[in-house]
Parts: sequence; C-alpha cells; structure tokens
Amino acid sequence: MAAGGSNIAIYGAIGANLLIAISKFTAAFFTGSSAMLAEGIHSLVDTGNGLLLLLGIKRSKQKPDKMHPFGYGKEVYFWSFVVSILIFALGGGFAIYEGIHALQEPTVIEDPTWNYLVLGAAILFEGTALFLALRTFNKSRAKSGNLISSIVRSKDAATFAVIIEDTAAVAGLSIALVGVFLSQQLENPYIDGAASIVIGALLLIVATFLAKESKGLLLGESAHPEVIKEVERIMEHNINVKEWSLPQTMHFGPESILLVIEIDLIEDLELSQAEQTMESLRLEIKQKQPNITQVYIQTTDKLKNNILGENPA
Amino acid sequence: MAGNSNIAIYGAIIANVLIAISKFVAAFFTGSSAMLAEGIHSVVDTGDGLLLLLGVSRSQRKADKHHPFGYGKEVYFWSFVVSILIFALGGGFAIYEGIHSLQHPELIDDPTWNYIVLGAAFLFEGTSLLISLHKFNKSHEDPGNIISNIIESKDSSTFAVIIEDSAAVTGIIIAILGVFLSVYYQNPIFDGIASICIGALLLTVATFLAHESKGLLLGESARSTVLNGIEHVLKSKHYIKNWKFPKTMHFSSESILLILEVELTNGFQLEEAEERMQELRKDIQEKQPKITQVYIQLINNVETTSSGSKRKSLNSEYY
Repeated sequence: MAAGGSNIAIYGAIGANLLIAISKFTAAFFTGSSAMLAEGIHSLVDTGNGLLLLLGIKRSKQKPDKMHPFGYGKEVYFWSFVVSILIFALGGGFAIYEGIHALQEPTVIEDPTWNYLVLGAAILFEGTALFLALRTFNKSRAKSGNLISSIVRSKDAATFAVIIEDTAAVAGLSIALVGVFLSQQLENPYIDGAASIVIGALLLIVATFLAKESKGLLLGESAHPEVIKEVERIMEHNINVKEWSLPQTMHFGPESILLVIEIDLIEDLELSQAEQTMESLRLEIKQKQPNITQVYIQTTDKLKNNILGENPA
Repeated sequence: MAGNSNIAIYGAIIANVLIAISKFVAAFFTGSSAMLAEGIHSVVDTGDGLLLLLGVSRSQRKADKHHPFGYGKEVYFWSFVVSILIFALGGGFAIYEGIHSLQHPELIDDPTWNYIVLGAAFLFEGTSLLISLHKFNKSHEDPGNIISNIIESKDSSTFAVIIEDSAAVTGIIIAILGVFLSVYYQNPIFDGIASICIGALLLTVATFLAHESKGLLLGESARSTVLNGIEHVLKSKHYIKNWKFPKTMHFSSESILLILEVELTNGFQLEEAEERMQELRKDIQEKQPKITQVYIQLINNVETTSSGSKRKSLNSEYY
C-alpha cells in the first residue's frame, strides 16, 4: 500500500518537473534568456531525481542472495541519499552561482511577462505534486503528531524525499516571484540576484536535512517505538516467556524490518514445546506487525547484559 | 586492525598536505593559476582523508535505542561520500581543466617547476601507497590478488586510500608524460589530453569505490572463509542435525552479525539445548572473532529443505 503510495508521490514529482522543464525551455526559446535555459536544465535534473528514486524502489525488490542475505531493501535509502547530494550540488550550488552571477552583472528585467508565466506554471505543477505527495503520506502516517516529526520518524525515504523536494520547490518559486516583482517595482536588479541566493541557501538546508535522514536509515535505524511496544506486549502475554531482552530491530525498507530478540522461557519446558512457543511467537509478531518481515528468536537461560543497558522488568 | 586502516589514512593525509604545499610554492613562484587550482585540489584530497578518519571515529560510538546494531557502518558511509568527492571534484575538475587548456592552449616555456612538483607528488603518493598496501596485504592470507582482495574486503576506509593513491600515482605518471610530450613536440595539446585522461581515470576509480561502499552500506555478507569457518563449527557438533545457510552482515570490517537457524537432534531438554547453544556461540566467536553478535534460532521440521540429507546446510533458499 505505502509502496504504491510512494510511487504516486514520485510519479507526481516527475510529471511536475517535466512540465516545468518544458515551460522553461519554451520561455528560453521565446526570450533567448540563457538563465531560463539553465533553469530548464535544472528542472531536467529534478526529473532525473524522481527517476533515481523509482530505480531505488525497483532495485530494493531484488531477492536476497548469498552476498546480501538480508536483501536489497536499503537501495531506497541509498538512492534517496544520492538524490539529496544532487539537490545540494546541482540545486543549491547552481542557484547560488546564478545569484552571484546576477549580482555581478545586474540586468534589469524589461518585460517580466515570461518570468511570471513560467513561475506561475511551476507553482501550479509543483503545488499539485506536493498536494499528491502529502495526501499519500498523510494516509499512511499516524493521525497524531505534526508533519515534520512524522517525516523525521518516517522510514519511507522515497516519499519524504519527494515531499521535502516539492516543499522546497514551492517555497523557492514564491521567493523567486517576490524577487522578480520587487526588482520590477523598485527597478533594482539586485533583488533578483539576492532571491536566487536565498533559494540556493534554502535548497542547501533542505538537502542537508534529507541527507541526514537517509544516512540514519542507511546505517540501520530501529523500528518505531509503537512497533517495539507491540512486540513486547506479545512477549508479555505469552505464558511460556519469562523474560526478554529489548528487541533489536532494523529497517531495511519502509515495510521491511528485521527483528532479533532473546527470550528466557519458563523452566520445565520440553524442547519441542519451546520450539512450538517460538514458532507461534514468530507467527503472531508477523501477523500483528506485518512490516516485520524477518523474526529471529533466541532462547537462553541467562539473558546477556543488554547492549542498551536496560532490561525489561 | 582499526589502527591499520588509520595508518593508511594518516599516510594519505600527510602525502596530500605535502603535495598541496609543493603546488602552492610552485604557484607562488610561477604565478600559474592552474598550479593554484591544483593546490586547492590537493587540499580537497586531504579533506577526503579527514572524512575517512571522521567515519572511523564515529563508527566506534556505542549502539543506542535508535541504532540498536551500532554505528559501524559510518565508515562505509563516509567512504561513499569520499568516492563522490573524488568523482565530482577530482574527475570533473581534471576534465574541465583539460578542456579549458585545449580551448586556450598555452605552450609551457620552462617545465622545471612542473617536473619538480610532479616528482615530489610522485614520491609522496608513492610512499603513501606503499604504506597502505603493506598494511592491507598483512591482513590478507593471499596477498597476491589485490583486486579480488579489495572486492572482498570489508575495510572500506583502507581500500578507499589504496584506490585513491593508486589513481594518484597513475595520474601523476600521465601528467609527467603530458608535460614531456608537450615540451618535446612544442605542442600544448598533449598537456590538455593528459588532463582529460586523468579525469577519466578518476571517474572510473570513483565509480568502482562508490560501488564497493554501496554494497557494504546495503549489507554485505561475511567472506566465504568466515562462512566456511562457521559451517565447520556446525559440522563438528554431533547434536546439530541440520542448519540453514548462515545469514551474516558486516557492520564494519571488524564486526559481523550472524543469525543461525539450527535443528537439534531429538531428545533434548530445553535447558540442555540452551547450554549447547551457549557453547556453540562461544565456539563460533572464538574461531571467528570478527563475529561480534550471534543469534541462534532453534527450528523444527525443516521440511523446506529439498535435499533432506542430514548434516548438510540448507542452502535451498539461494539456489
């Protein structure tokens, strides 16, 4: 479901960027502006980012093999990170370069009609893409909590990459619109250049945030506390389980979690009873938390000191 | 071992600092802007070494609630970042310089400074390469085949240094050739072509490095020698009837997670079974000290196996 959701968000972003690229190339053709041409290339790069996210989703579905026995789920996180770098360098760096260039050689915008047309179309397309992405994201996230904390906690890197990119784009376009308008009204070309630099700074910040989020997921982030609590609840309810270590979890993808847990069973169980208990625990965990795709339970009579330094009561 | 990879990194940092100084000195005396740009490039290479050190130090943080398997993969992450920097700032920059000099060819009047800088760079990079190769070969049983050792290696910060240094030494040789041919034939085109070749070399090398660190970030299994070692231990235990293919993942070069699924012979009490498992964990970790976490899950009725034969690993999942 969410996989389909993140695909919708990505397709929306690709469609928006493609349309914006076309608008910019058309404007560049009619005005002969090289800045508009460069802007068109920039939108093509943004389209490429969407394609990279799709590539990540597709590659993440490869089956586990000998070299990667836990599968390729993290491909999504990897490609989201690559996208964040591209936004940083080609988005942020490029906008700042354009801004400095405009400050060094200020040119007064004589007829801003084309600028307004392109910016207006871009806001329309990016806004639609953002709306689509937010709608799918809201559907899958918990009702409580605000959007930003949902993104920080989200494991669906491809979807939040699109949301962050689209939000930054809409904010950036609004800044550009204000820049063109003020430049025109005050007949001061420096405002246009300054707007470019502000947009660049915005993209650098956004890309850093996105890079940090995907980095955490690449290194191996644990599941949400609710998921872990549910696992502990299942342990609590099983009369054969005496004690357990804090469940160790890692996300390999938005919908694929590895869980390993150590449990201490009550005394006097036959081995076969113990095996049955663990088998039913595995089934129950996977049933109640379908995102947990791999469960490994180890039985022990002495729980080793938990790496996290806290044992359940 | 962590010390090993640090020595390789320190070697690379020192080499790049010395090369940067040589280039800045040459830029000062010749007033060449290309030499200044080259100096900045060497400063960036020095930064790559610092990033690898950062990765090594961050990877040693303890596991916490959000990262219950620890931060070992920081090293792989920063190696990947370095590969991107080599790609963009190394390869891209060299190709840009090459095209620029093809468009505005300038004849080298006096190549003395070029030869001095390139000679010094060759010396420094060569020394750094020797140090890192020496360390790398020490940690491998069969030092003969370096390339396949690098592909199998899980120590991405060391092989990042080796790859970077090898590319640097090769690049310097190409540059010397370019300067020499330019002066000899009085044709500046050779200099520009040499720059483009160096750029292409760096792009190739960075792609290879990115590919290797990507695999490790996604989660690569242990080497086959480690896997064979595990199966060897399993085979030596008479109470183990069957097992599935051991699942392993490297979190750093010195830290492997192992998840085993085994079936015991019949007639065990739970407590006995737990003791056996404890013993098995100890044995495996003793023989394969890089395995830092072992989880053993007991399974029953492994009908899933196609072989059905006793005392054979159930690899059917992957074949």
